[in-house]
Amino acid sequence: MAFNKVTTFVGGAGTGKTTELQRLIHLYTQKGMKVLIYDDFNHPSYRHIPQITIKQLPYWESGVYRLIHPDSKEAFTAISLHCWNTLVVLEDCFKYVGQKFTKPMIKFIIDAKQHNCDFVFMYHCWAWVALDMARRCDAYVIFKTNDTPASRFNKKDAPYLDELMVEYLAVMADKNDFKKKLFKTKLNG
Amino acid sequence: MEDKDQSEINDFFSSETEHKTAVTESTTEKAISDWGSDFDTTKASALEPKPATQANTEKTPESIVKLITTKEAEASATVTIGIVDLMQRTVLNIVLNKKFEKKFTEEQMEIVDRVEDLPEDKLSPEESNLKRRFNKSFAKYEKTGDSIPFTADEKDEMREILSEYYKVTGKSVSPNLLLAGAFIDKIGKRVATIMFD
Repeated sequence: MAFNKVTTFVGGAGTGKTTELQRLIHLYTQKGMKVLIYDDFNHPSYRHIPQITIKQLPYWESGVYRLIHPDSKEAFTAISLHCWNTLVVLEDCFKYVGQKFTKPMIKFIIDAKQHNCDFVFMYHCWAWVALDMARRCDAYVIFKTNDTPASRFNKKDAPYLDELMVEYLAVMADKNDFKKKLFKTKLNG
Repeated sequence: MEDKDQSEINDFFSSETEHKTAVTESTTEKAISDWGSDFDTTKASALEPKPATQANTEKTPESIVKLITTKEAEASATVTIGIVDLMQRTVLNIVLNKKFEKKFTEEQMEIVDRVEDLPEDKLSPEESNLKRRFNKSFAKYEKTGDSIPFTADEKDEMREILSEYYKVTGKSVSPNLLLAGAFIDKIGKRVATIMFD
């Protein structure tokens, strides 16, 4: 585990993103991996998880922690410096990542390969997914949303758009509200 | 179907896309020393960033403060005092001039100018009185003006305090500003002297 996978979870509120993530965290901790959940505010879903500060990150050796830091640039710099062999979860990341990656963010993802980190970016809708994400993302976990991938990406950004749309429509057509599907972009093997 | 999707996700996150062991900070260090004599390993090791897990990487407040020499601190202090002195000379002299000018009307000043070099016995009682009042005020004005600049003792005292301040904070006036400050100080003093003395 933790082999530089960049994954994007896209799903509306109440479609099962956080539940799926908690299952994933369990999967990682069972294998003895470190998990870090970053948010810029104290998210109610993760209040049972102990907090860590950016000053404590260099000394963190195992376990699941959440990092709450209002300045995302500072937090990304600290994570990219000190997190090794970790699953890094960015909860509701549109708030602090935006539609275009900033320099610390790009550095953060590029350095992640050397640091052997996996990433999960959580988005509420496709319109908020950064275009840089379309180029770098290894897989999407698709949940039900109000908008479509085609409303955000074109084929230049995401050559896999047609296949992604097929998967997306399959999720939307399903009667189960918590339907999810994994889509690999195949760009990174 | 749900189980299939779930297992797909599980497989994706559990799969090992690259067969390598977990990265640790010490791996790089070992690899460099294994290269042997082809490389200056000491230098390479020194250039490597220190492992973040070591406790000694945490910066103490002392290490953040830049160390500056006594000479730097004293030069910065001297220039700061010079500029402050110049400012106060300029500002206070303007204030003093205005204050002095307010004491006499233009007519009175004209009379004073006219009778300045005349002997006392050739003046009327009013003129003599005005001249005496003017001379008294002017002497007071000059005395106050002389007391404006910092005295040598004051300068020494302030230099000591400012040097300490610069040393403790690690801040100093940059060489360019030192040079500019020194010139402003010297030229400004002359300008102030010509203007007000």
